[in-house]
Amino acid sequence: MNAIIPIDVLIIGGGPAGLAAALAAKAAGADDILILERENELGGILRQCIHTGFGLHIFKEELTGPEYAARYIAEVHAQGIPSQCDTMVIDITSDRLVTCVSAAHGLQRFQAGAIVLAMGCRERPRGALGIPGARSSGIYSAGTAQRFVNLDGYLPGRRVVILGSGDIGLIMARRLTFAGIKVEAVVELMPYSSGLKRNIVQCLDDFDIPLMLSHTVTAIHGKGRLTGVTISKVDADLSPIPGSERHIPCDTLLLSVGLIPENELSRNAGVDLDATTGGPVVDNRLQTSVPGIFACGNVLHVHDLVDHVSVEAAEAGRQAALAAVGRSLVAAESAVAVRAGDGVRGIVPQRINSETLTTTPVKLMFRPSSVRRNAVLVVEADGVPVHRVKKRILTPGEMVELSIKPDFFAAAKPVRELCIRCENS
Amino acid sequence: MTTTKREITCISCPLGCSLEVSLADGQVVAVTGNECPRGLSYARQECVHPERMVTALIPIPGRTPPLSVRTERPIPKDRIMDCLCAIAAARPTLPIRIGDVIIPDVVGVGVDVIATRDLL
Repeated sequence: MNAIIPIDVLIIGGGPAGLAAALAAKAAGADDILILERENELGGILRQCIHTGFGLHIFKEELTGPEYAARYIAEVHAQGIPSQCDTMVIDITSDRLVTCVSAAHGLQRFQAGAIVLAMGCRERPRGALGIPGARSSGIYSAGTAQRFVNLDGYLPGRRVVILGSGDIGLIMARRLTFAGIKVEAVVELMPYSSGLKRNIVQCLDDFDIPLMLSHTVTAIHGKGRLTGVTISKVDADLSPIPGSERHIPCDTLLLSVGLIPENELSRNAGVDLDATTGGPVVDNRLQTSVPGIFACGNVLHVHDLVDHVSVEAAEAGRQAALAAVGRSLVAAESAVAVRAGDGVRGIVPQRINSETLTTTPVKLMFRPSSVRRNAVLVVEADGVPVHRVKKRILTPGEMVELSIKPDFFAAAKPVRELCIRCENS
Repeated sequence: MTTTKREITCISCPLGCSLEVSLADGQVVAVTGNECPRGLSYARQECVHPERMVTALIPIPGRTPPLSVRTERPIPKDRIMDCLCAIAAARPTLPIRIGDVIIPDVVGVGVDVIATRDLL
């Protein structure tokens, strides 16, 4: 077996999170950095996102995915940060021994000073939905279809129904329309879309593609190739309403029904996972429950905007660099737990260092659990409200950022638990 | 002078107000349903001269991925399909660098179509 290769900061994944983490680690003083990427080039999911809308916050420009990625990749090369593509990490241990395989190098093992988990997420598959019906071909997740079209140069079919109104599904509705494919409908189980308003207007309304809210696919038809789907209206409990069935002929069904952080490696390493976000539990330095292992981007929690991923990943990279040179390789011992109360889901970070809480602002990110107008977000310290923020609208499709400032706690005694909840004003 | 009404969704923020826009001679004369002034300017833009960015693909024989391109700026919405046809007819020669102009002044709208990735 090959010798174990020591490395200061090892970054798992060369997408937007891994690239930003690598640059920040370098800027924070780490010299010995390596990015491991399983695809044949850097850039991650951005490579197939050829639509615009990336970079408005960071570059103040409306870029496509490949352009956004290219800027980070160019900087990674300019900084001389090495990367190894076509490499699959197969194991990470809690003492940061990383095993990977590649055709070029066979099996390799790295002993890392610090690790940044930046593996991203994957799509919820058909199996997670339990739609009854035939096992026909022609059923793809929206991102798979996006890859076929934008990277591999194939069209998935001629007549398409899209289940789920997540942004990838909406973007694909427009892309397929541009390619001459008929998109019959976008079918959404919930009474609202989880996609951005801009995408509903510019990807569906512009092309008169119907968005059928409170509907779902209740049967799939076709031996061999898909020939059609049955859709039904659903009631307030999201159960299909008998008698509301309608048949839509189609040869392709795309699923845009949510994303799942990809944490098999994290679990192997003994990293505690959050059942709501699907990602690691982290503190305000983005360190997981395993000292020296940090997480950022969509492997931590699913983001709406790549700009936010880049910002978060830069912090993880910086902290990993500091940890690798021995400055902070300890778990937060006196950590304040952050809890999601009524109407709030998936807060990141889940722990805040007690000292940090009273000295430095900490940014929390989370989603509301339903659409609310004129809502108030309440910050509670050990059950006592210490801060309130009014919001005109909260929707699960848009992540909320809330800054927890030291002056919230000026007169209070040491805090053990913070709770964020949402109430109507 | 005839007044026509159009319903559009404001995309200025997540509220997504349903706007009812009254138009006379192609000009916006009244907007209702907006909860803030941004709805007014959105309605004026969207009902009078709506614009969109266009992104598309150009297959390059024997090469994957296909070349991805975009308009350098938004173009008039009613020229999207013409723009897509012009892009489909383009036969660019390699090597291509990100930002290279693939079609200058596409369909006469004064906007270039540029490459969004390298294809060397």
